[in-house]
Amino acid sequence: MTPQLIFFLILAVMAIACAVLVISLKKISHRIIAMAFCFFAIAGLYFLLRAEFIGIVQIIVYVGALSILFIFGMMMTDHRNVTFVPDRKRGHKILSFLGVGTLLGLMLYGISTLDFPVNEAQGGTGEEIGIQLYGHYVIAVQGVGILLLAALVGAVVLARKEAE
Amino acid sequence: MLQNAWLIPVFPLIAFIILLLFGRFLKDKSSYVGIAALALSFIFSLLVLMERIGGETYGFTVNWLTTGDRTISAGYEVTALNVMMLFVVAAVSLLVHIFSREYMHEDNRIHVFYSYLALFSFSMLGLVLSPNLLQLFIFWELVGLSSFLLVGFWYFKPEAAAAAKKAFLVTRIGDVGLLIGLILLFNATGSLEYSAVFSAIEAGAATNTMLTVIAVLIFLGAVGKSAQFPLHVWLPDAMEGPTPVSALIHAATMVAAGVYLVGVMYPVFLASSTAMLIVAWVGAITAFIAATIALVNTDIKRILAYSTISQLGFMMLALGTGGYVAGLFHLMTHAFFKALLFLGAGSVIFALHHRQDIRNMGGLWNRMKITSVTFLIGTLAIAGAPPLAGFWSKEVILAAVLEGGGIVLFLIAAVTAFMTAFYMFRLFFRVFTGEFKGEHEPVENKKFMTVPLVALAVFAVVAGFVNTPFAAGLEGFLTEGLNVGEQAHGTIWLAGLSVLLAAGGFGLAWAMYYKGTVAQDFFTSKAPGVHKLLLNKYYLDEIYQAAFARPTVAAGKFLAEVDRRVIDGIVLVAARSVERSGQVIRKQHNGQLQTYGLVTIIGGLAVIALAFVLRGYFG
Amino acid sequence: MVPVTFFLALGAVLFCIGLYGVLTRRHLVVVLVCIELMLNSVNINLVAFSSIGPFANITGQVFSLFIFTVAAAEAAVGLAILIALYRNRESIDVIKQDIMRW
Repeated sequence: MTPQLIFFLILAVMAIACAVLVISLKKISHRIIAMAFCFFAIAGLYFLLRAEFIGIVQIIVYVGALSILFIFGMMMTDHRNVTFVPDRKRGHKILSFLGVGTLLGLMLYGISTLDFPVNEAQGGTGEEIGIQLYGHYVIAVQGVGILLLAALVGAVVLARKEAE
Repeated sequence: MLQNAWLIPVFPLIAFIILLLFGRFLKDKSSYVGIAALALSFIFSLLVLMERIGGETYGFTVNWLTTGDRTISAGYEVTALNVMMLFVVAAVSLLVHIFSREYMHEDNRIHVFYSYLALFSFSMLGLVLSPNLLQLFIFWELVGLSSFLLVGFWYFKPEAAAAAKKAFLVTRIGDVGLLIGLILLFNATGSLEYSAVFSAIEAGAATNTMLTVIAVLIFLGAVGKSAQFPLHVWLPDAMEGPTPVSALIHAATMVAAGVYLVGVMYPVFLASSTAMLIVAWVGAITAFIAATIALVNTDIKRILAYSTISQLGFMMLALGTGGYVAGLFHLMTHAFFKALLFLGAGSVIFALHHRQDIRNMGGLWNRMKITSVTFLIGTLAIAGAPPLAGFWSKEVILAAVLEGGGIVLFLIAAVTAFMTAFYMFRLFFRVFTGEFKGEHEPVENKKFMTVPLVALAVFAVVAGFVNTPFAAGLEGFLTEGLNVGEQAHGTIWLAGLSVLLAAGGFGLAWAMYYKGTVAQDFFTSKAPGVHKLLLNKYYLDEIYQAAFARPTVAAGKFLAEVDRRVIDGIVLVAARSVERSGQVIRKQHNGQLQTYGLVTIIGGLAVIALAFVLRGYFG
Repeated sequence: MVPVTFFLALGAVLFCIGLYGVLTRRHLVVVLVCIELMLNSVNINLVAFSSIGPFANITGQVFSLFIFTVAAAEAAVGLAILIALYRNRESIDVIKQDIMRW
């Protein structure tokens, strides 16, 4: 039991628990908060992996920006009514559960057969990432920039009230 | 000049194209286009004929296509036979073109008529010029097509449409035989060029049986085209077409193409005595049967049609008994005098406003002088009165039959010759003598109709002199360089017999239909059964109808039912089942994103499971 | 140090939870949230391999950055669509958004 493992287990349990809460809580706002905590736990895992830059970005983007975005989305739509009638057929839920469970089982089985050596974590500083981003991946960065611009314009166009 | 012989069929082709494109604007002026083209063709063929007499055979071929080591060529050839046919076809065609201008001038589709005529002239002249059998076959079908178009020219008349269909279908039977024969011949000799085929056969390229089969199949084509028994039934019906067409196609040229084919392929026939025998007997039977039917028929054009069949039978009989020159000589003379008779009949029909029943005619002699005289010349010529064309050709036929065919065939031919004279004079007396029956007084037709009659009458008089026993010019011309066996020649007593037969037929007709000394029902009352049989054309149409047409139609109807019920049923079941399953399955396309996702996951899992079962996890 | 397979297993679990949410939740916002969960689980894999994988390499972290941006764009457009839908159809029930059916 190394300290890393202990931290890992704590963060992992926290992430899974929050993820379960996301799909099981009653109120939308609660769910979004659970999501934020889940992302927070994941950010902790990044720190554990000594990927501090990614962890910080995770906290900024997900825990900060996205959660607020979702809360806005929730507020601008119908957030009081969370239970829909009539309920979904049981068959759908059971089938989904079985399907996803089988998929999970398969993946876990596959992962359990893997045999990777245990390495020390070697992180990546923001400097290294920056060099890579603006060196080797500069075109991809430009592309992502265009993507963000397109998403920005698209979101504005979609959410705007249509002209009478 | 011989080098330019290929131009002869090209003129009508150009006329055809012009009329096809601009006929609607030319209207009745389109006749001049046709006449001009045919006049050029006629002049050229005359020049070619003059140069060929005493000249050499000229041939020109180019390789058309090569398959393996066999080459099919195309080109043209000016042989003695070709040049004779060229002249006959061009002359008759030109005169018919001239005649038709007046005959058809009331028809507002006259430009269509002339374009068809030009197409026919092109095809027929091309057929005659062909140096090989494949090219001949192509033109052979083209003349069949133009015959179909012209017989059905008045397609709005149901009889004309039916006749055109019948002509096309019946000749098709023969054409299939011809095609099979050509394929067999090509297989046996490796060529379709006349000269190559003949030399290969001389070298023994085909067995005797094979040669007989080939010859009989080629003869089948001739039987269809030349309206020989048992495929003669289309020709009388083809009289539904305009009369100039009957004169050109169904008397003088196209129906003679069968005889021409046998003449061209004569060495093949000579190589097989069985085939020769078949040709002779088919010709004899045809000549006899058609002549007997013509005895009792009452339609002016049908009598001439049966006469044509009978005369074509004569030619076949002559060819089948070794009378190569006799058959082709008769072909030439017959072309002139039968075209004359048909055009004369056309003149009569035109003057009588399209009445054709000879029982309602009479007394035209004084009213239509030119037509009457020329018709009389034609009648005398076909009956065999010396010294007209028919006399000379019929005499050599009788000689050939007697020499090469034996006494039975000779008797048939003699009886037929007698009947020919009888029914032709019966026709003549009924139409031109006696009382005129009808309201409108007929008058002689205009120059456009009478000039061709006179021209053909001149031909009918003089055409025979090219081959008389005293100066057998045509025989030397046609047989030069060809091995067609010794040709029979007429003798004095044969000529006497021939004249006697003609005179007998004339006398009997005169007695029955002019003088009335013999009652008109003298024979019919004696043998009413025979009369009825002849009136109904031996019931051949009915027999064919019952034996071939009805079973075919019945089978067709049965198969149509099978198609509708069974095949369509299967198709419908397939279509409906797809439609039904589509209707069921489309309900699954319910727009529910999550259902889609679920199905995708389950499907992906199924694929993974399959991979797991078949290959083990992850390969 | 923690074996890389632990991180992979955690990613798989989170992915499947997100997937289950996408398949069964009826509130559109929750569906979008679950999609974010799934994207994050992928990020965990990337960063884990980048840090302690057999061929540890900074590239994994670069790629996770790209995924962040894609996720952000997706969330923005998704929420815009959601708002447009709500305005036009007055419901954010997934089941009711079925105009693209037969």
